[in-house]
Amino acid sequence: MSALYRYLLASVLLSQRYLPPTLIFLAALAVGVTSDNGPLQASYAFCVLAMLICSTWLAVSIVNHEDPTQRKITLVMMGDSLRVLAITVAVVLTWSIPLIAVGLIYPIVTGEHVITAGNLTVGAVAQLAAAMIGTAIGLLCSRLVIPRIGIATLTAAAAILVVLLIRWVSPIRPIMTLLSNDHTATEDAVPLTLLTVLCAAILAAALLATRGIADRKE
Amino acid sequence: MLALVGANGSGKSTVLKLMVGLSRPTTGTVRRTAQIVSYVPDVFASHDRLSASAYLRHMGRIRGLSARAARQRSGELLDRLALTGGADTPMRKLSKGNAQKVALAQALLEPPQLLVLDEPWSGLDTTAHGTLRALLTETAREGGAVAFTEHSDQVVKSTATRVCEIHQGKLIQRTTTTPHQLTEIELIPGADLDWSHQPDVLEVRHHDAGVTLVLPTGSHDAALLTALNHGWSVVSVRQVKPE
Repeated sequence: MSALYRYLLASVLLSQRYLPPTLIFLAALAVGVTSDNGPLQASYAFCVLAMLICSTWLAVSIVNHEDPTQRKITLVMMGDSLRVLAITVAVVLTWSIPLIAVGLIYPIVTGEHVITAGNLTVGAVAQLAAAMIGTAIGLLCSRLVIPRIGIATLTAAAAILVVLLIRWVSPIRPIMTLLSNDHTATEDAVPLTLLTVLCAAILAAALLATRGIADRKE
Repeated sequence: MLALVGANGSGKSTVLKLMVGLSRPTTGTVRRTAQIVSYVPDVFASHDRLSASAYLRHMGRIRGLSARAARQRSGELLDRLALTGGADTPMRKLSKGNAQKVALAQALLEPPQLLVLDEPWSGLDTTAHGTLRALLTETAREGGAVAFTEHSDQVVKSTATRVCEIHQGKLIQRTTTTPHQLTEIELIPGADLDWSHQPDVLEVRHHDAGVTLVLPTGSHDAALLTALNHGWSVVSVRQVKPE
């Protein structure tokens, strides 16, 4: 299992497909968070938005990266499409981790904030939740589900808008609202944890749905 | 060694995909006892920037080989299949034939219990034809089941022990065969002649003294005539048993 993870990671790193979404994420932070001197958690709310878009793009890029014929070989080798897909998701989330770190540090470096361990934890967890939802959207908009890239792009954009604009379609809007309030990190801890667990469940559901659809298409 | 034959669109590749679990039957069941299954698709055009050797090492590790064993085995296979341009060539820069050789190598990193190949001879040069036949025979000798699709009657007759003909998704004929007796002709070169494009030539081996051709017995007379007409000298003609 770890061998497939290493192979996919090496292949993705060499392909540099991670670069456009990463640059978009950094550019979004530069525009939206630089010199923000408000509450740190409010800055992290913007990072959640940027992470959602970046991880969706990242997931589509990484899932689509593997050539369809190579994917068949990998599937036969592993004997289980769910494991292959789960490892692909692990690669996406692995790449999200340094971005989360950047998202945590950048507002602190460029603005003046009161920094507490609680704020940092809340920021990290909120971005991880956004990465999971972005990955879920990316999976469902990947070639495995939507073969035509134009339709997949439009669907992903629409899905991100729906997730951001409509409350309770996903936990992202409530998380952003939570970060924008004047609550302390301690007050946000429990609802944020619950919302993050919900994000993980949504990612798991997206994984199963993608696997089911992809297997049926083979 | 099972060959699936039939016209384009008859369902040969679908049967192979059912065998390896890439497709699910709409009715009926597929029973497979093999644990180590390898698959070679009909077209393998990777856009990967990994080199062929790095790719094969990764595939070997996924197969469960140690890093050293994966490196050693992939080196052996690439040597045997004579990958042009070297093992460090990025996958995306490989020609169709060389990509096919890498696809074959990944399938043989670990001796498979079931080896499934979709038109594996397609795109290969005639030298690699012989190597592929030898590799498949070795797999079968080690107890692996080999199933492949192929359009060339000569290749099927010189390789398969069982042939299934498929038409519109239905098995219409099943025959057990003995692979054809092969003839080796050793030649000293005369005028320019590309044997790889001559009909019925299954394998061309170049060596210091000249060239050795492998053909199905019975169809070697035409090759001898072509050789003599082009000023080539015949050193020996001998029958060999299929490996």
